[in-house]
Formats: sequence, structure tokens, C-alpha cells
Amino acid sequence: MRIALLTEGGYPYARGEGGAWCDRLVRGLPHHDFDVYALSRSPRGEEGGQVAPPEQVRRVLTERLWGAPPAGGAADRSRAARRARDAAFRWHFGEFTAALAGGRDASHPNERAERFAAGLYGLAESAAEHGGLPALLTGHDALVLLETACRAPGVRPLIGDATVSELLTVTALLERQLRPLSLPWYGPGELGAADVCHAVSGGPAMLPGLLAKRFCGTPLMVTEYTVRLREALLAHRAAGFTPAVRALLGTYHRLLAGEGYRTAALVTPGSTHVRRWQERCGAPRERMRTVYPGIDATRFERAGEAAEAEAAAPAAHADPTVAWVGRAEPAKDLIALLHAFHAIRKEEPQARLRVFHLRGASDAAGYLDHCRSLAAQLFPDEAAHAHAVGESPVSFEEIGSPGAAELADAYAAGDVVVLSSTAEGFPLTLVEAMLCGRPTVSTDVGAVREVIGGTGLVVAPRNPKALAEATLALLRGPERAARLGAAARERALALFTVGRCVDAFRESYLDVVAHHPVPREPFWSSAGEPRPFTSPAESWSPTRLAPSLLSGDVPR
Amino acid sequence: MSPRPATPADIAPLHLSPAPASAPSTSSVEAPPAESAASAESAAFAELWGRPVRPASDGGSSAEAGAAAEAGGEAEAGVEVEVETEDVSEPGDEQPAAAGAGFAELWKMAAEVLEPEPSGAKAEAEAASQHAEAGAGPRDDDAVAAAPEGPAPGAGTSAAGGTTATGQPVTVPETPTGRCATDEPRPDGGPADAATAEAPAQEIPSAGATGPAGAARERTTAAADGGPGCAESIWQPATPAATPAVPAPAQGPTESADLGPAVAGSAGAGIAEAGTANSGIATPDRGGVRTADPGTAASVHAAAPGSPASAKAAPRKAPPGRTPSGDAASSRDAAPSRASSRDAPPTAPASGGLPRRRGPADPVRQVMHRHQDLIAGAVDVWEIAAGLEAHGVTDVDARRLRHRDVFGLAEELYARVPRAGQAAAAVRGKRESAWLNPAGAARYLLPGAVCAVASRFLPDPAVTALVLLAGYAVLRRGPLHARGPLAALAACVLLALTTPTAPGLAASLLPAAYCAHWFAVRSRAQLAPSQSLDDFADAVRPRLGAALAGYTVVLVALLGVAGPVATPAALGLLLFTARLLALHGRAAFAAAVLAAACAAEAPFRLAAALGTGGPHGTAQALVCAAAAAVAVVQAFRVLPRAAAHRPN
Repeated sequence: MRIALLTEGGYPYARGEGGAWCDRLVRGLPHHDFDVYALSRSPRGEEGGQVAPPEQVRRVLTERLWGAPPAGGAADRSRAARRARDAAFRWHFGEFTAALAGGRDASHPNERAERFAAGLYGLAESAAEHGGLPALLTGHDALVLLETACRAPGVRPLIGDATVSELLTVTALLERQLRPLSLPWYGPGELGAADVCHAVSGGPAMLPGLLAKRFCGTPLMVTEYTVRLREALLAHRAAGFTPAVRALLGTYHRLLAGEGYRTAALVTPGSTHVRRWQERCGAPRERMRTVYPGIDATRFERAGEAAEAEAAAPAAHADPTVAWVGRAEPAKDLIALLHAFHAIRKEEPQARLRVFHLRGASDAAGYLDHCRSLAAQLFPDEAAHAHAVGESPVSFEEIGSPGAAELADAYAAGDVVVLSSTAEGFPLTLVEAMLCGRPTVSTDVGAVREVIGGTGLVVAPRNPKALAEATLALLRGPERAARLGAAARERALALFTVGRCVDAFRESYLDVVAHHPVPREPFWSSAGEPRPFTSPAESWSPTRLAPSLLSGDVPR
Repeated sequence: MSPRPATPADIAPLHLSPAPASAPSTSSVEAPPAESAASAESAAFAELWGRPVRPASDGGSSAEAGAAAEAGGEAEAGVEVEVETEDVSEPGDEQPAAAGAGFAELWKMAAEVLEPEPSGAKAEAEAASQHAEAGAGPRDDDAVAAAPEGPAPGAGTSAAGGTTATGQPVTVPETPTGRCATDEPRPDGGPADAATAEAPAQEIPSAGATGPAGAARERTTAAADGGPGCAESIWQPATPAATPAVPAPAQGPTESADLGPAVAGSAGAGIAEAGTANSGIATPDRGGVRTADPGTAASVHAAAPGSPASAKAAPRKAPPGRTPSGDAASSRDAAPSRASSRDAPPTAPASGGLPRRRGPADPVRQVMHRHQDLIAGAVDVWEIAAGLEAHGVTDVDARRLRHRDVFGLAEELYARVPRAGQAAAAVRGKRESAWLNPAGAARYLLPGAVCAVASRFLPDPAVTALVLLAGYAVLRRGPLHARGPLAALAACVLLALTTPTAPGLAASLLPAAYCAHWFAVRSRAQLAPSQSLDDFADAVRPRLGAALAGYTVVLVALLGVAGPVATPAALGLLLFTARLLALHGRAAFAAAVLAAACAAEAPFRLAAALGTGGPHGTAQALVCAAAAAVAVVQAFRVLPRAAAHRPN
């Protein structure tokens, strides 16, 4: 099977986010061929270089979504051709911007989505036929069309008052986002040669897949571990765009996400947390399947087995230790953890807290220092007797330092692992703690509840007292803690391992390919006779011949 | 839960005195339905309260009974009130209004919850004013009437107001009495009421009804007011109650919010059993709580936030001298006594009680304030949802706020928070200097200097070559630097072809640089203030004309010093315009025009080289002028477009 991986700022780039699981996926399926079509999001991502792909990856094609538009394009065109190109561009871009701006003609969401799709595919066709799309998008016609769409009747006054500089910004950003339209990736040799396109994140990564589906008929599969739309909205806010620009761009991302979900043969969110956003954007439920991310369990095998052995004879330690592992950020709310530990210490004077922070970005160092000083204020050094050197019950250690050479050691150092975040996506540290067989106490944010699933204690966020009580309950009840830890390990091994994730994807690939074959060979031979085996039997039957993952099949 | 009647226990005996005849109360237009005067006292009391007097035997909730046990007539009144309240929930027969009492409670509760707490002082003042009005009944009616529309006409109109509320207001007066009796005494009662009130309030989607909330508040106020109001004449002689009301009211709603769950239990017993209806009354806890101590005055104030207008509108007939504190004091005194006497409220004894919290009872408001910047600056619901999730608000929180998920909560927040100045404040950055840096500009003098120097020693072609070389070196950077080597090449060829490269032309490189830079900067500055593309074009055209004209004038001045003017001037204009076009993205066209001019010039040059004479000067000038005209026309068509002036 030949799979085209569509990434955006991710896999082949060393600095990309979410690239690790792609790597695991590719390495876990050695018998398939992969082509990686990567879009880079920022110059920072490209600077880090690329990771060495395994040999299953046949080729890696890249494109930038930043910087100056690619030079070149249609030169030496006859006047008639140029006029046709301009007319086609005007029509399609007019539809496109009308959908972006809204207004009376595109007020109904279905209508809006249709116009957006029509405009997008029209622009793609025109780009494939005539070329020169970036120049057109930064030209005068595009501005005039955008202005007309913004001033159309029924458009929000926020967008209707867009100034000239805002229009310029929007067209520049749209030109960047629509760069995949001008790429030569949609021929029978590139994306047309793949059996399935797998977009490993939402948003711009889906765009080549949409076009491949349109031009070559390749089915599209979308996987999202973080909500790309949400990230885009927050990034726009952080970048300081003006409200009209944000409104138009946000609408673009949202409509693109909706179109991608609707066109996809299968949508796999990473957790229910992500699923809500997808459903909200219009993803059909019958084509969704939750596939949890998998992490490598071999790193934690030793710690996990040790925990299992310990569980046979649970006993409380002399100094019950609470461990916290992660990146020190304000969203992790270490301060609540410190306050909770303060309350714990009142009941358990021997308790200790060990904070293992990862080597993170330097901009979070301020927060870590703040926590250190708070810990110093709350927990003075204690010594065994008058002549001993004291030490603070709270220790901040970095993963990689002698105290905790590896993550597994960090988790094994604690009797209970605590997660006190106020905002969290998919809690990977929690999964790692579960793999180490540690009982966990965590706050109910993000996907924590479905990850824990009853094998740990869950408290409300921003509630140090509840956190303290829950942790105390575990520290004081070693049997219960051991039981929970064992159950957590079982659950993690069952749900969150790489093998399971890769198996799920393999099945998904097979299913999608079987039900949506790429029409490469003609069904009729040149003599006019039918060729019966050009597509698998499943694609013809209205019912499912074999049990499948998907609950329903939507013919496309 | 019963509304908080502000009437302190000691009002009861006063009520029974026939004197007060607060005729004003009776003046309430909405003639209280069925005045069945059980007794003179009852009648008087009923008159005061504007509610039909019913035998205390009505409805017999335990709370009522308990209430009845309290201070005699007061208790009775309270009980009656309670009974009324109860009856509201059950099919009330007596009064048409009774049926609406439940709704009245609900409205009050909603109003209480949704409206911010007014300051205690304000409440006090309002209470005082309220007291000024005659009788509780009219007051209640007033409040009720006022509720629907902002400013309440006043006591007299109370009747009208009463009717608006579908007769509910009628019941309102009753409730206040009950309330006065019940909540006044108990600090916990207050909270209890608040709690109960809050509970139902919570159920009511916050996104609702400020209107009805306000109205409810009004009513509550009225209700609360009823107590003190009616007691106006009675209160004066009353002992100065503590003025607790002020603080109490402030916390009304919040208290209710906090005390909700806890109080529900307590409140439920006596007053709350009516269920939501009662709780509705309790809600106005804002008012209720306040009134608890200070009596109706406080409650009035409490409700005031929603109905400040109405409160103020209510005619202040009372003597201004009547200090709210006095009332408060009296109410407070009354309250404790009442509290002790009344065992109806299952809440804790008056002495202790849950602490009151200040602030509104609306939990969504807290979220609103915490994320004020995020919501005010957001452009649509999706941004708010994204920001909320980034801050850790989950579906659980949204469900606590009675929404299905974060998106629903985001929609409500989007609707409730006004957008914060969406018009992007034009960042008045530093006004970019339109004048070249003098140091950098100096190098543009180089070609002119080279030309002047070399023309003395070297023949023309050599001079031309040197000038071109110097020009190329100079134009690598700076305001005249444009991509498009073809145009530059064509320009060089053209220069080479035209015969006398007047030194003035070379020297005009500096003014060319100045004009081009000035044009570019001034045009970019017009991007921000322009509202539309046409505006921008209209703003740019005069600047373009000024740049071209300025350059031409300077060029002619330089040329006029020596030698022919026409050809070099036209040539200079052509080159300058072509350069401008190339600068702003039309290099292809510039190259084409220059190439055409070259082609037209070539024969003349050839003829000159071959020696065949002829007035080439004018022909050359015409050719150059024609080419320049074409270029200028195209420049005026293309350069005013915004796409030619992208900031980056």
C-alpha cells in the first residue's frame, strides 16, 4: 500500500510538533510505502533540519507556507490566455471571498461551505491549468474582489469596515495559505500514485489531500491530536492581527476544516477533547473513530514491572513521596501543587515532593524560578536533629540530572504522581506515569478523564485542598494505591501503546483503501469489455461484506 | 422560599393598630383584591399591605405555622404571607393574583440573580425613598409596576404596576410581609433565602432576561419594600434598627449563590417549601437578605440594582429626613426579634448564620470578568471558545453554568460582553521620513560628478559608458533600486543610443532618488487612513503627479543650464517613470516601453553614426516624448492601486 503523509510543520522537521508520533507510525508499518509531503510553517521549523526518515519513506517533498511567494509562473502567455485566466480567477476568487466574508448570499452555513468549496476547487483548477496563482492573489484583482465581498450587503460591520491595509494583509496571508494549490503534486506520479492520503494534522495539511481527492480521487484520512483550528485562532490573536483580519482568517481556517472533515473518508481524533471541536466544525459522526496516541512502553518497562512486583506487597514508605513530571509552564499550575503539598505536610510531616521538570523552552524559566521561591517560602529546610544539615522537602530536579536520569526514574521516584494543570490537551505525562504503574491524582482538564478512566483520582482544577486530600488518601492507603497503579498500567498497556496505535492505523488504511479505491485503471478495456478486477469487491457492494471499523460508508 | 420580608417582628403589633391607615397603601390603585377583613387589625394590616386578608388558616405549611408562632400579629401576618406564598404554589383560590405569586417569586429571583448588587449605600438611600412612599402595598405595587418599565410611576401607580404583573404584584405585598417576618430575623434566613433563591436562579439561564429580571427585582424590591414601606408609618416609631441592611443587601445575590445549597435545606423547611416560587422570592435575596435585617428598605435596595430606576422613580413621599439608617436600625432590631420569634425559617438562628459574600450571584459573571479581555477583543464565538479552553474552562465548568458545552458558554459570553472598540486604533507610528538620509543621498551625486569630470577629457561614448557604470553602482541600493534587470538593461541601451548625454541628466539622479522615495513613503502612509481602494487611489494620484512634475522641473532646470532641453528632458522623464513602474511591480512593462523607445531611437543613432544629417533632434525628442507619455499614462493607471504599495 502506498500512503501519502501530509504534514504541516510536523514530521520531517526536527523541530516540528507532533513529529514523534509520525515517526513511530512510519517505523511501525515497514511493509508499506510512504511519501511525505511536508509544508513548513515557519522559518524556525526549517532551521532545525529534518529527521532521517526510515527506508519506507520513499520521498519527501516540501513547500513553504511563509516567506516570499515562489517566483516564476506563467510567463509568455498570449493575451487571450491571460484574459481567460484572469476571468476564471475573478470568478472563483469572488466565490471564495464571498464565502469568507459571509453576507446575505452566504449566510446559511451549508451554502457558505458550498461556495467556499466551489471557490477553492475552482482556484485549484485554474492554478493547474493556467498557473500564476500567487501573482494573481497579490494583485489588484484580488484586492478589488475582496473589498467587494467585504462590502456586500449583510456582511458584519466588523468585516465591512476593513481598511486597505487590512485587505492587503489578508490577501498576503491567503496567498501563503493557498500555496499548495500551485504545487505540481496532483499528477498521477505524485499524490495520484498514492492509495490513501493521510493528513496527520488538521488545517493546511488537509489542503493537498482535498485537492488530491478532487483531481485524482485519492481518499483522504484526517488525524488530529490537537485542534489545529484552535491553535490557529490563538495564534492569530497572539500575532496581533486586527479584528477584521482575524475574522476573515478564522473563517478561512474554519471553512477549510469543515470541508476537510466532510471530504475525508475517515477522521480520527486523538481524544474526545479534540472530537468535540471536529463535530462542531461539521465532521460526520459515522466517519469518526478515536485513535489514542501511543507512546513507547519499552522505556517504562522496568519501572512498570517493578511496580507490579511491589504491588504484591504494598507498604507505605517511611517518607511518602509525591512526584510531578512535566514542563514548568503556568498552565501546569505548580503553585497549586505547592499549596496542596503544604496541606499534605500538615498531615504527613514526612512527606516529600519531587518536581522533575523537563528541559523546556527558556521563556518558562521565569515561572520555574517563581515556583522555586514560593517553595522556599512555604517549606523551610528541615533537618533530622540539631546537628544535621537540613534540606527542603521540596526538590526541583531536571530530567537528565543524576537524581533522575530518565523519565522512568522520575516516575518511579514517587509513590503518587500528581498532575495539577489548569489547561491540558492530551496528558502524555499521565500516560507515562500509568505505564510506570504509579497511582495518579490529576485535575479534570482536557482529556484527563478519558485517559485515566477510573484508574486514578481526579479532582477539580484550581483546588489545592481537594488535591491534597486525594493525595493523602493515596499516600496513606498503600493497598489502594497499589491497586490503582496496577490497574493504570493495565489500562495504559491496553490503550496507549504504539503497537495499538499503529494497528489501528493499519486497519484504517486497509478499510479506507478497500472502500474508496483510486480509479486508476479504466473499468472498461479499449475493446469495450468490462475489466472485472480493477477495483476491489467492497467498493461495489452497497452493504459491507466484512466487519469494519467504520459504522457507515458514505459513497464519494 | 418566601421573600424576605423586611418587616421586623416588632412591626406586627404596629400593624395591628388601626391608626396607620396608610391610606396611601390603600390608595394603591390596584385595589388589593378581596379585602376580607378578618378583623380590624387584619383589615388594617391588609390595607397596609394591600393584600387581601385571609384567615391565617390558609395553607398550613409548617413554616407558616412556625412563622405564626412568632410575634403575634406580625407572625400572623407573616404566616399569612407565607401562606399566601404557599398558596401561590398550590392552586390558589382566593386571589387571582395569588396564582401568579409563584411567578412573581421566580421573576424576583431571576432579577436578583441577574442584576448586579447595588451598593449598600445606594440601597439604603433607595430604601429610604421607598419608605417615604406610603404603605407597603403601594410600594410593592410600585416596585412591581416599575419593574416592567424602568421608572416607576410611584406609589399611586403601583396599582397599575401590580396589574401588569398579571396580578402577581398583588401577591407581592403578601410575600414581603412573610419575608419581612422570615428573613429579617435570620441572617441565616437571609442566606437561606438567598440560597433557595439562588437555586432557582441558577436554573434560569443567565442569558435571559434582564428585563424580567429587572422586573423581578423590582417586584422583589417592592415586596421587600412592602415591609418597610408599609411600615413606614409604623417604622418611625420603631426602634432604630441596626443598619445592617446595607451590608446585608450588598451580598444578597452572592450570598444566595453561596448559600444556595446549604440554605436550600434550611430555607426549604419553612419558606422554601413553596418551591421555586418561594425561592424566587428568596432570591431577591439580594433584596431579601438585605431586607432581612434592615427590613424592606434593605431589600428594596437589594432589588434596586435591577430597578434602581424604579426605586428612584418611586415617588418619595416620605420625609427626606427619614434616614435609612434609622430604618435599617429599626429593621434590624425587628429582624432579630422576628427571627427569634419565627421558627418558620428552618435556617440557623439569627445570631449566627453563614457569612454573606459580596458580589453577584451570577456565576457566569465571574467568568466574564475573569476573561474580560479575551471576550471583549474576540471577533466571534470560536475565538472565545478557543481562548476559554486555553485557560482551562472545560465542559464541566460549562455545565455548571448551565450550558451544554464550552461553545454554548462562549455564545452567551459573546452576546453579553460588548465588543471593545473593534475599530483598530490606527497605530500612529513614527511618521516615516520622506526625505532621504543625506549621507546616503550623497552617492547619487557620483554619476553627475563623473559625467562632468569625464566629459572634459573623454569623448562622448566613453563618458556615457562611465556614467552608466557609475549609475549602475549607485542604483544597487536605495529608493531607486528595483528588481527587473531587463528594464535596467533597456535603460542603459537607450541612454547609449541618445546622443548627447547631457550632464544635467546624470546630475538629476539625486532629485530622481528623492522624488521616488518621497512618493513611495507618502503613498504607503495613505494605506492606513484609506477606507477603500478608491480612496487610496484618489490620495495617491496627486502625489504621483507631484513626484513626476517635481522631477521634470528639476531636470529642466538642470538641463537649461547648458545644451538642448527637449530630448534629454523627455528621456529623463521616460527613465524616471520606467523606474517608478519597475519599483512598484511593473518591471515588465517598463522594460517593454524602454525597449520600444530604443527601437525607435536606433535609426536615428544609426543615421547619426553614418553621418546622414537631418534634424534628428526633434524626431528624437518626439520619440522620447511619446514613450514618456505612454509610460506616464500607464503609471497613472497602475501606481494608484493598492497592490503596488504593499508594505513589505
